[in-house]
Amino acid sequence: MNDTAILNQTQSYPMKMSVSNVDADASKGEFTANFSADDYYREEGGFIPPLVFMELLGQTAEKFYITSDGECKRYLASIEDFSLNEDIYDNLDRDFSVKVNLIEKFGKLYRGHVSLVLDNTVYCEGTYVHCNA
Amino acid sequence: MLKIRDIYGILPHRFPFLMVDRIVSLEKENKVVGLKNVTVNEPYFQGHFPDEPVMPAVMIIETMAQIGGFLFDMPGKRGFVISVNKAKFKRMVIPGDQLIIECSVVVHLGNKATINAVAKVDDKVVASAELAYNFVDVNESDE
Repeated sequence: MNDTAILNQTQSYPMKMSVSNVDADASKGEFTANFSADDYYREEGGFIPPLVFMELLGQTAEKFYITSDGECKRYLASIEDFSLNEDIYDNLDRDFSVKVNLIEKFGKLYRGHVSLVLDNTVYCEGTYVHCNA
Repeated sequence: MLKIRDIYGILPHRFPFLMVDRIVSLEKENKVVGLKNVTVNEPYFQGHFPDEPVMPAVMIIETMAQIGGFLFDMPGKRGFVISVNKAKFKRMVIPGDQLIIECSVVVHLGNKATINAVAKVDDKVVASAELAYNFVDVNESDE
């Protein structure tokens, strides 16, 4: 696969989540994420569907693997667990931290835990398994 | 069977997040089968991915959540997905596929419920997951 093909398989609008890299090493990474009032996926009244947070965590894990292991085609194989604290809807105007911890890597599989954190409170977290194609 | 006009009257979702085209069969508090026709005009395909349209896994989960919601009669309440467990994505879903989703109740106690959901295309399983809902008063969800 050439580089152009890889780049074209990166999420873009409207599926690209707003995540910025802060710090990362081989086993963990920290990112920032924020939400805007005019985000495409906001429903009437400003409600953000839970799937958006699920996608945000998954994309952040992918971003971490790109940072640590380089660009390649990856897909989501499973979400072992995902939970959302409904209090998140009271804090959407704040900047969140997204923390990724690599749990294990075997063969083509990456298993990591991702959490969306604000002021030491976890508002959303999940365990994701990604696979290199 | 529930067609799209019936679905409009039940689900609050609208474009671009109404992910149910038809409810094929429904036994309340037991089992529901619904379908979603996946077309290349779905807005998320322009970004997932620009040259290779693949239905995002989380959109399959959202479709499961919306179809699963038909299992419950909770007047004056709206269900929110609060957790997803054991979600597995076995095959890619692409434009032209028809997703058939079957959901069954695992447990329903008060304002909490858990379902099992299986998504198939051409009779082959493409994804499965366990979803948990919390039902809140509609007025409370609007605050």
